[in-house]
Amino acid sequence: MKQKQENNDFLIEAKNVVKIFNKGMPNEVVALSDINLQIRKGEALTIMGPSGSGKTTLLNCISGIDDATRGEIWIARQNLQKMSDNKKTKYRSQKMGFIFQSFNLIPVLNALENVELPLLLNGYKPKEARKKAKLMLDKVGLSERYYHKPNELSGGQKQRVTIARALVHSPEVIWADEPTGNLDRKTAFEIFDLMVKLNHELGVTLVVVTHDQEIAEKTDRIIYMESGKIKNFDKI
Amino acid sequence: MVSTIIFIIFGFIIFTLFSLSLLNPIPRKVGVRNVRRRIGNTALVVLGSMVGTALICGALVMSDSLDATFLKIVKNRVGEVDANAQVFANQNYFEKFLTQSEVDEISNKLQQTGQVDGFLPAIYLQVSPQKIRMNIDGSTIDNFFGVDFYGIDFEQLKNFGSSSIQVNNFKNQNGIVISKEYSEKMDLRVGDEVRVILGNKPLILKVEYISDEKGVMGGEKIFADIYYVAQNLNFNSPKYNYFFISHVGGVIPDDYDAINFSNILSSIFNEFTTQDRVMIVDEIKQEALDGYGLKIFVTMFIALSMFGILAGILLIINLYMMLASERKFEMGILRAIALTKRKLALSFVIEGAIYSLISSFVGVIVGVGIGYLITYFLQSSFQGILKSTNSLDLEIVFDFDLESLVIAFCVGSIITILTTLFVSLRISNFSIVSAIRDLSEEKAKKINLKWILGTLGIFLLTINFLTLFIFTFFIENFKDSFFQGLNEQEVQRYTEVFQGYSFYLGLTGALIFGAILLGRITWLIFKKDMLSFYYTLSLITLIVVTVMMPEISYLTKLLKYEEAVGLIFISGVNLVVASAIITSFNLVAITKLIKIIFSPASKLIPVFMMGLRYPSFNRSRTGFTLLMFSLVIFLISFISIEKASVDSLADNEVSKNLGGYELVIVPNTITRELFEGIEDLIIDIEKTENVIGVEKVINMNIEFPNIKYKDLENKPYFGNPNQAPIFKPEDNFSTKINVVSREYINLLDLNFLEFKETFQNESEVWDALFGNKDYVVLGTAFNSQGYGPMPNFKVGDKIKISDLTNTKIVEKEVIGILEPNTVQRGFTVLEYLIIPENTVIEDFGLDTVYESSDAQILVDINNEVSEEVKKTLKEKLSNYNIVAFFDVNDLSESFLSFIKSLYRLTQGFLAFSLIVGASGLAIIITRSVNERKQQIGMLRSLGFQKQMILLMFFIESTFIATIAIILGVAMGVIGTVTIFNSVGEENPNLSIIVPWGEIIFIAILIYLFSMLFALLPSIKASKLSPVEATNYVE
Repeated sequence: MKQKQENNDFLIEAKNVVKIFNKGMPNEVVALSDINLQIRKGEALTIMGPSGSGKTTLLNCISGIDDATRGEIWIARQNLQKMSDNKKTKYRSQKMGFIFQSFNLIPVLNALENVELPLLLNGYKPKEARKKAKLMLDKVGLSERYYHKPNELSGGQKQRVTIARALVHSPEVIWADEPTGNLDRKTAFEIFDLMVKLNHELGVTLVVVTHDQEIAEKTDRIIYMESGKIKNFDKI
Repeated sequence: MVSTIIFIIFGFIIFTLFSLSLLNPIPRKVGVRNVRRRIGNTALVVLGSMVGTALICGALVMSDSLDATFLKIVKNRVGEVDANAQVFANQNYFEKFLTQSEVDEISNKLQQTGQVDGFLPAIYLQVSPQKIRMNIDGSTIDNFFGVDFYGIDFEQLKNFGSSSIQVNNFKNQNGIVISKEYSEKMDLRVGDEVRVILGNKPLILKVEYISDEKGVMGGEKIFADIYYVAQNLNFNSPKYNYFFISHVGGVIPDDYDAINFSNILSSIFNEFTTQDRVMIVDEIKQEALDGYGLKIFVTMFIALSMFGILAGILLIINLYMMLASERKFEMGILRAIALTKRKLALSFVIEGAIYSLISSFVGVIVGVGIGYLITYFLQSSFQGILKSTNSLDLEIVFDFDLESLVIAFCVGSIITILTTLFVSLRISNFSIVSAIRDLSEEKAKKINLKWILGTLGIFLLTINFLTLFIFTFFIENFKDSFFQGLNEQEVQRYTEVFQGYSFYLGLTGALIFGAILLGRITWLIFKKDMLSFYYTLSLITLIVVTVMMPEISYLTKLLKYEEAVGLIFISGVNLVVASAIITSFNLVAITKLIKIIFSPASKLIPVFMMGLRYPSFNRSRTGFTLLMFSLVIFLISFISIEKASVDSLADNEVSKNLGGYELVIVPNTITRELFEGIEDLIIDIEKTENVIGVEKVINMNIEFPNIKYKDLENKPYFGNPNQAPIFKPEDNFSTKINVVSREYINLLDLNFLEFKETFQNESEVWDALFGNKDYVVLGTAFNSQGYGPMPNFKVGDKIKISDLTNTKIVEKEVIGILEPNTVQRGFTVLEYLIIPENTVIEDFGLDTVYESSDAQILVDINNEVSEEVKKTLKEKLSNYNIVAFFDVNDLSESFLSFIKSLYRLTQGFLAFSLIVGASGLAIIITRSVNERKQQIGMLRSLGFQKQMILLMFFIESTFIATIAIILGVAMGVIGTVTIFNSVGEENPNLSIIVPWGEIIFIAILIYLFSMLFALLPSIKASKLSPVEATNYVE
């Protein structure tokens, strides 16, 4: 009970999280070691660090798309480790949004269909989903590109679609792994400004992995990682 | 010769590739390492590529097995004998035998040729021995089937050919030697007695010796002492009608030239042909080696495996296209940093060649397995069938030559490597930027020299095909100069064959290339891409034309001939390819339609959306898969329909042609006394309890004094070769009159192809025939295949016929022609000229009728006690001279089961091709899972449950499999109905039966089979973690 009250202040809490790849094999890699992290609701947090420091692994583990080897991860007062796959998946579809460096749009669907996918998964009626998806695409500045397939869009446009898809179903948290990594500087700033703006406007928690210090500066807090450990916190 | 060419091509390809790979280290490394990169993927590609080789190898192994089978038959059955010669005569047969001095003369002449090392003259007769063995119940009589009976000089037999035959000396003059096979069949032992009738004299013969010798003595034969036989035929000294001849050398002489040997023998024996006696030489060694026509199965399997191989090629194309799209990014990088287009293609070809060699090796092993299974099933099908019909006792041997395996390996590798080359050249042609940045390929066409030359080529092709098509309507005017040196019938035949092909191929080519040309012109003028639209239109036209085949006389005429096989194949492929292309061009519309029909629960909408969207997005991949799948299903439907139709046809024909009479008794009518004895026999049979009806059928030999064989088209003869018409070109055309009663005709339910207009109905035609001695009705032989040369008569023709001595010539008017016999000759009574008995006797006189006729007695019995009746009849028949006694149901049953097992076997062989389809689908799904790992991870991140991913793949594979099954079945049914209807112009009896139950059952089976294959990769996909969406897993 005490623990729950403590967690009440945080949307996400990671306790002593360890992630080991190829455990017990000669090529065993300890990607995360003893990570402790708390993220507040509505916070914009950046995870930084050199390549191979475990940023993406941390994001994957605390977002629940990958399993930690040891430790506890609590999201909205629920222990992620103890959730069944179906429950975790359902939670993801309702409360989370994902943005990846390589966009990961579904190539066979057009922009509008990509964006309405999370809504349909959440049981929205097709007409309603379409209306909402259009509004979201308008919001990210893609009102002219509803019916374009991903390979007909530029990198920046693809990432806007990804943002629209991540936000359309009003999730509690957005996980973004190098969201601007494939974009030019100008577009990267535009995109990130858009994400921060939506974070402020909608009160969505934003967890971002990036190499870009300038971009990281735009968030509330930065954590630095090195060799699978959190080295220090910045801007707390 | 063909194998040498194959080896040279294979060697050339491998040498070229090897040299190129040595000269180009980077493409070699890329190619080789890609093979080792993912063992699972390599295994899948190998599995997909091996199918073609396996089918080729299976067909070749079957060919080898049949060769080995025939060799065994040759050794057992024919042995040293390479040819035989026989005396044929229509009248006073025994008087036409060759005398001892004539035989000596022949023997000298044969020796002078230096090619003969064995000559054994004999008296040959067909007899039906009845076994007499005293049991507790008294004498038992068994079989009435005819057997070959030879009177020979045993001393001569011992020294026949290069091998010596062991025969013990006889104790009794009436002793006989029987072959082991015959002793087993009749359960005869040494000391048993058999009763045979030679001429008109019953003889009791005693089994002295059972010979296990092969060759001359192999098969079902009886040998008796020639002097004893001659004495009982009332010959003063031995006379001969049959001669065994052996070529120098062993069973299969090294430099044996069958045609030359046959010609030499014919020239010698022909000297002894007289006006009323014909000497016929029959070369039997080569015929036996050639497999008594059974090799047609191998040809059939090779032809059928073409569909499977075609499906296999499509699978390979699909696999490499997928491989290319999966590696698009890295290929872009390779192009950007180092490799030219050709070198990139080379890396793919090297990779493909490695897959090809491995897969061909695996394919050969699988092929040997298929060959084994098929020979095993062939063996079980043939056994029983052939035994019960008393025909060739065939034991199929499983065997293969190393050469065949090497050929299959080489051909399989060549096909795969060439397919890889084609695909590699195609896929290396991409834009580097689009590949690296995952953008859609620039489709804009540039007007450059290549485009202009391409368009010009397409224009010329369109014009060529169009000209070919138009030529169909004008070839009539040029046919004589076109087909110079051929006779009138041949000119007609080739003109019709040419017209059929020029019409269909011309139209097909013109439609396809016309669509491409129109697409290019539209783009040039209006900058609009209308190719899909034009293609859809032209392919729909092609389907319509194909379906209208029965209405197009050029095509129905072609279907009369053997050359129509190509048309059947091409029209089948056309139907499937056209429908698959139309479908793949319109997949989006189809998915929309499905969405309207199946509006799923709202939560399943995304699953449906994804499941249906992938196949319609990857149009060419789906198109290839559909085509591959539906080609195989098309053929399976085709075979099912053909099987059902022929089955029902055979059933109907057998009962129809014999009017429900089950038993056929063939009395010996070689002398007038015997002929006259038939009446007593009939009275005796009629008196038997449970005999419902007896019908006498008389077949009288006659000839047409005004028609010579040389005037007739030489058509094939499908019956017993011993009964094949013997003629010389200058001879008058001869045939038979079939005599039955009016009452029996009523039972037969015969249909006329045409009859004289003055009659209202068929019954009136028969009444007229039996009321007017100047009329004749023509039986089935006059418009069926397989009866040898036959004149083409029309209703109203006045025909002149005479007896064989031309002493009496009568003229008849043809008042009707019966429908053709569609099943097989031998089940029909009324095959030739149908004239009532009293008319025949009035026309030719009783003496002539007796001298020139044979007879059959048909018996209708109470089916409930058929076995008892048959037993009683057999006992009665032992008092008469009977050649054969059989139950038509047994014959037709074995004939039907023979056909059925052949079709089942064909279906079984095709089922292997089906594995191509199903495993092809599985391979494509597996590769899709690999290709879409990241997207599946993304869907899982977005909230797709595991079951939803499974369902998504299930919907995708169901969508493809269902469309392919629908296309395959639909086109199979349409194609078969079309072909049957077109052939039906010639065969009105042929009614098509679509076994819907069986087809639906097969379709469901195919669907379940495909789903089973697709299940594993789908489960694998559903187990993918959402983390696949991120980049740190490859």
